[in-house]
Amino acid sequence: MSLDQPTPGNIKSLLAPVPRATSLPPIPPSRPYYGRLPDEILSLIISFADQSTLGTFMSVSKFTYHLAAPRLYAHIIITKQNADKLFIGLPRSARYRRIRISSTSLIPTPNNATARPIKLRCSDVPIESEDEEGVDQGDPPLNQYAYPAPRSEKRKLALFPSTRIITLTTRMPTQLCQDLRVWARRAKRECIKHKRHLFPKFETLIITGKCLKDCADWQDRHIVPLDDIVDDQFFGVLPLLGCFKNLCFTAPTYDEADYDDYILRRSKPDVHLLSAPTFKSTCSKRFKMIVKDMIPDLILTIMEQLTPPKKFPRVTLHNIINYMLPLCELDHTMFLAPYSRTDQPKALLERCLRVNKRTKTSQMEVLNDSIPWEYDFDKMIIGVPDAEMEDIDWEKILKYANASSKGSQVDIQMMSQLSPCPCCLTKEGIQ
Amino acid sequence: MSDNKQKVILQTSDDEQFTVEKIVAERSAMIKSMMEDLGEQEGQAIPLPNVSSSVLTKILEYCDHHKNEPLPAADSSDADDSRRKTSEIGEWDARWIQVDQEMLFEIILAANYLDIKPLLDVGCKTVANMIKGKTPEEIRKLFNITNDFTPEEEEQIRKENEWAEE
Repeated sequence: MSLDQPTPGNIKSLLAPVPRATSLPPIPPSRPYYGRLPDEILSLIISFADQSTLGTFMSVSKFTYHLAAPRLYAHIIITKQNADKLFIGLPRSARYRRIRISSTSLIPTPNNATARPIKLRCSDVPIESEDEEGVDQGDPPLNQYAYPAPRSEKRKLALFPSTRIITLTTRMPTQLCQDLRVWARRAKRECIKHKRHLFPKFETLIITGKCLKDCADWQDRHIVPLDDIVDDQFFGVLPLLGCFKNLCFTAPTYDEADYDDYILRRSKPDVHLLSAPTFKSTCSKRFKMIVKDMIPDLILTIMEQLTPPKKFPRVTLHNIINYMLPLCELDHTMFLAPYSRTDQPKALLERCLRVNKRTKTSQMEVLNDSIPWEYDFDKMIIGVPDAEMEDIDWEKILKYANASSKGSQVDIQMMSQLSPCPCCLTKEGIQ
Repeated sequence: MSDNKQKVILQTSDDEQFTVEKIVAERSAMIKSMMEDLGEQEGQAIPLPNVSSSVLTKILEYCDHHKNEPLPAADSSDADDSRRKTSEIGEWDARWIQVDQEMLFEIILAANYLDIKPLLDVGCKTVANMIKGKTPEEIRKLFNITNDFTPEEEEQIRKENEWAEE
């Protein structure tokens, strides 16, 4: 079995349900202590293995590599710790290699505890002192073999087509985003006809509350003004991953632990720290900006890449308190925060109704720049916590909403009656 | 004649005979179809050349405990998935399967041979839990797998998939 080129038939046969033996499996009477289990049983065991065990199976043998790969790569959860490692094998910039080396040599020891990381003079590259924290520090300093090997990229790209779902729990490091862009540009140059994606069969993108928190925090640490749209470093790289059909994201909730985190991450004396209430409001403002600007941008970029017939990704918003207009034109489901107080959905819908025709038209014009209007994207379902259904004249509000949004259909339903999000399978989302 | 008290005789590889209730024996799809083939030949032992008496004793314990549960559908891939999702092993099963590794492997092989799907799943889940945190070398030893990577390849592949080991 060649490792580099798993034939489609090969993979397919591995994905097929395990055939059950109807005839006797040949077991020689004098089996050694632990005889070799039949392959079908090994494959069944692997199907029950967790992520880290699957990772181990990858390097056991070629056979287990091909058994474990489609399962390991089917659903990828990108965390702060594994973001860089996931893409090991793809070419990385010289600067990344420098970080890898320096992060092992610059771990503060009692003697050089005050040593500061070297600031690199690359004006076009934002300096990230904190984004690489905790990454690679445990690595052995020397590799016996040259790495990445010439075959690594090919091997990695053969694994990515197994991926259907990606869950983002962190803002990917800027350097990684930049390197992925370089890779995508090169891939695009090499096969112009069909733009290459990293994950060609990628279907569902889940952006967790933690990821959005991370984005807001990153902006704050990089002193990005509140109303400035900047983070296409990260959001711009998401369309390179693939054309997802489902997008699910969860509005983060902030609590005291987050404020402690915030203080902890800014322990330098020269940083002006926010008080707890200001922190909370700043964070939620940042979050609103992300939702208002980044997410529609993301969807529009995905739209541009699709070949007709174009269909909007299905969007599910979780834990929403505020109504955000740009997204209301998309086909989406919105789950209101279960903790929102009785008056909030009312206020929310009032806000929705207050939006006048002119504002709406101008908002649409922004969207109009890149979408032709013949596509259908006009259904919205709002899930309201059950207890709040009673006090409000939903009929009236619905009538209003449907009348003011020409052609699009707005529906309000009790949370308990709605089916859960197709991506994360919950109604509350993934914090 | 579907009398549940009907008895079946099973004969193991070491020539021991077990007389069990039909409903217990029918947990095994293999024995069930064999009984259907044999028809009403009372008193004829069903040979199980791949199962030893110690393993069969253990397995009959399992079958007896689960004898009143509905039999799994003959074959359906949906059932496969739903089974997979509930990766928790039942309390009784978990206690029952606390055996040494050799016995565990024997049970799995016998469950596969006798075609007792829920038991096969319990066994495989137990193994999957058992190998958590093991190194590739330990897994190779356990399953008697030959390493067909070159040392260089193995190191590279380990590195490429290191992200999975959180």
